[in-house]
Amino acid sequence: MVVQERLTLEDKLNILSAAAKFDVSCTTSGVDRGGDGRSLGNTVAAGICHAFAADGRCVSLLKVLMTNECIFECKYCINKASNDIPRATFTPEEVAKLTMEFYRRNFIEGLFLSSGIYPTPQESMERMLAAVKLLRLKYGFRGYIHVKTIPGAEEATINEMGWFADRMSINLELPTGESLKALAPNKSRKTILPPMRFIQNGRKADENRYALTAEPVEFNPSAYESSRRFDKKLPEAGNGGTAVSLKSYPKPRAAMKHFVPAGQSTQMIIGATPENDYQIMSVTEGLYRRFGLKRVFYSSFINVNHDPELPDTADRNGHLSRTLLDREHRLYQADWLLRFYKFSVEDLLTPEKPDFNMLVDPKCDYALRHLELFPVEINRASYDMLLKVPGIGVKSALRIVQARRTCTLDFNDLKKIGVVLKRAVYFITCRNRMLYPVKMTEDNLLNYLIDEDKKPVIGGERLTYKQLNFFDLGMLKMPAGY
Amino acid sequence: MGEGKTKHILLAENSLEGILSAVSYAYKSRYGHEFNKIMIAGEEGTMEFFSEYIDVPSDPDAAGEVYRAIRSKLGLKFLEYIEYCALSCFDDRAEVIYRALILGFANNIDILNYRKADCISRLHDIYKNVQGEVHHWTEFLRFKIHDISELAGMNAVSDGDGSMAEVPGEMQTGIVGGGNAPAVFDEYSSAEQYRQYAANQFLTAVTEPRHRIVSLLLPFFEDRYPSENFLIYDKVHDEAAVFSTGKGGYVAQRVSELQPEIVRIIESDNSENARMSDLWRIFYDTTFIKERENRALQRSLLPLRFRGDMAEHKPRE
Repeated sequence: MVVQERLTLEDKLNILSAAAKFDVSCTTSGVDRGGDGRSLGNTVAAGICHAFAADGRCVSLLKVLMTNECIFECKYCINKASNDIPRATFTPEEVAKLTMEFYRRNFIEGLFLSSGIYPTPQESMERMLAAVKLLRLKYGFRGYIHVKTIPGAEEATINEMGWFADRMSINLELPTGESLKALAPNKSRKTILPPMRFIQNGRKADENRYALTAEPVEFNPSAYESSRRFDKKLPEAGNGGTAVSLKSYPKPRAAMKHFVPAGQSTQMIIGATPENDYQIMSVTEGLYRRFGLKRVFYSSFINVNHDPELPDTADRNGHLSRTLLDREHRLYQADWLLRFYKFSVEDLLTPEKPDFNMLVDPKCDYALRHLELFPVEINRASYDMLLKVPGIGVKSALRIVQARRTCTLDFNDLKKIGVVLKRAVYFITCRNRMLYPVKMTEDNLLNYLIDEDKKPVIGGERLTYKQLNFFDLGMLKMPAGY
Repeated sequence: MGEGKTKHILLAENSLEGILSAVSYAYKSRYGHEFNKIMIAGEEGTMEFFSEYIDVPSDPDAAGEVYRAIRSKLGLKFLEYIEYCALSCFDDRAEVIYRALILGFANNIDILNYRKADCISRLHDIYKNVQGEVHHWTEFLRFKIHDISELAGMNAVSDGDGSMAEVPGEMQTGIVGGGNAPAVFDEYSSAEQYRQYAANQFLTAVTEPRHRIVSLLLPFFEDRYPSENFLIYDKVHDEAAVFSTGKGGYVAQRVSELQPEIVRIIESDNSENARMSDLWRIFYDTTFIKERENRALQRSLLPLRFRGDMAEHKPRE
């Protein structure tokens, strides 16, 4: 360990922001809280980015660790106990002031606070709570605060934190319990899922307080019984379904109005362990449906510790491999389809075809495998059906539904209202006509949809369409008697 | 009928009031909408043949009539679109407003959703563009913090008419303790002490927007910084949004002409800001994941024109 006598604030910031950078989440969305006319800060539901790093990721929160000292030994983490790296610890006052001064200059939207686990999970959580309470109570800060839940912290502390933070997150780290055990021996589903369920229940209870009923609704854990089914599906889930009544944990004084108003998020590392896309997306779906999560993030694995047991995902130039980044991209696309487009995992992937098609996006892929649903008539199709058309998003679908109230739409009108026809054109009709005469077969459409640079020369096992051969092109004559 | 009539080109003043006055003039002239065109005075571009150019002075009463009619008949949302459109920099903004109003008043339909009409789809485009600009500047605007004592000797910031509006009281009298104000990282024993420290300061920011958006930025930052005195200066259109705590905000025009000192203050800097910028740079540089470098993505999300005042994009010494 490098021992340094006295670190300046600059040194600490340098160490502790570098230590936190692999957490993907930097969203500031999900809660609309206007200013109170007195103290600093508000939040905007759509989220605001204040800077973009050279990797293209948005920087909207001061993302730092409280400390990078850690007693855990997670193989993927730069801060693991056995690593010989400079260590530093912020005081709560330093975190609060940095946040305030950055916020006043409009550098950031708020604070993202995480921590290494030192000396115990409970004490790490308490130190984070001290910083957050300082910001909220002493400085009257009303901006966005995202805090990590430390697995193993006490529920009373998590509850208190929930009343001061906007979003809380606890990382699932890896899609299956086996992988988690292999890579993060100190973590387990048993310490990750209960806090997640605890916060979900707390949010539910908080929402029920504002329900339109004469009497306050008693929080009923049995309403979430069904959620246990998911836990069985997840290996090693243990008693992840424990429903806790919030009765024993009251709302602290001077807290914010709502409990974790922006909800929870989590993160999974992909590419370090052999799970396929189907497994990852099934876990994601479970997290959204059963645990009420707002976001699941996927993080391409980077072997920061040069661990020989783990795959090296970087290419010769030290850049992440294109394949892994593309896979991550497909996972995010599918994630959006689950949350906003009313798709389920079964629509997109099956155990027999467990990985995403790298040539076209998941929605195109779905459309190509369900050609019986297309083409869709723009002037009559339901909103849900419009959402299934490749190239038509939530906004376009809404605009179409609004615009067709006043007139019948044609392809030109679609362009005017801002619908991008590049992909949609093969799947829609306007006034019962397609724009071009298109042969509705899978391989023909696929040929149109793939970007030129991605067209494969040789087929692989992932392709579900017919591979072109010399006979099709008429370059060879079929042998006689064939 | 009406074939060969000379086209009337109405030159309106560059404001919503001016444009609505021209719309009112066009209605009242009974000349026929198809022979009218509204442009902003000074932005005529290439003059057209066979047309008569008419200067239409701004008339608050006539504009007020149209304004109230829009509000009651077409709704507040439509009004917002028109207001955004008038603040934009597009040459056809007056004409788009004119055509959209004709269509709106003539048809009793949900006019904003009638995107099939060119003027309505253009209105949406302009609105989106202005809104995008506002959103970008809420993201990328950077404030510098000055001590209130720097304002000593200044009395007023003028508003649009050239009449002098009061400089926020706190800004004038705030010289209390200006000299020995506590520095940022001193310990504050109480929230009150920190509030005192913040009250003795004011924030300035410079924008270089395409559209005249300071009046749209003001409500956002008013909500966000109710405890701060601030000033957002639009370098391109020479306007400023000024806000002082507890008193509210207003937009001042022709700032550099009437108040050159304030522009000097905005451009000055101090050591506290420099230290914060340095800390910010340290943070910004370390959050970058080298293995994921993607400058093209960064450029598309953060176009170069916004980078002027951002500490992290200034060249490193």
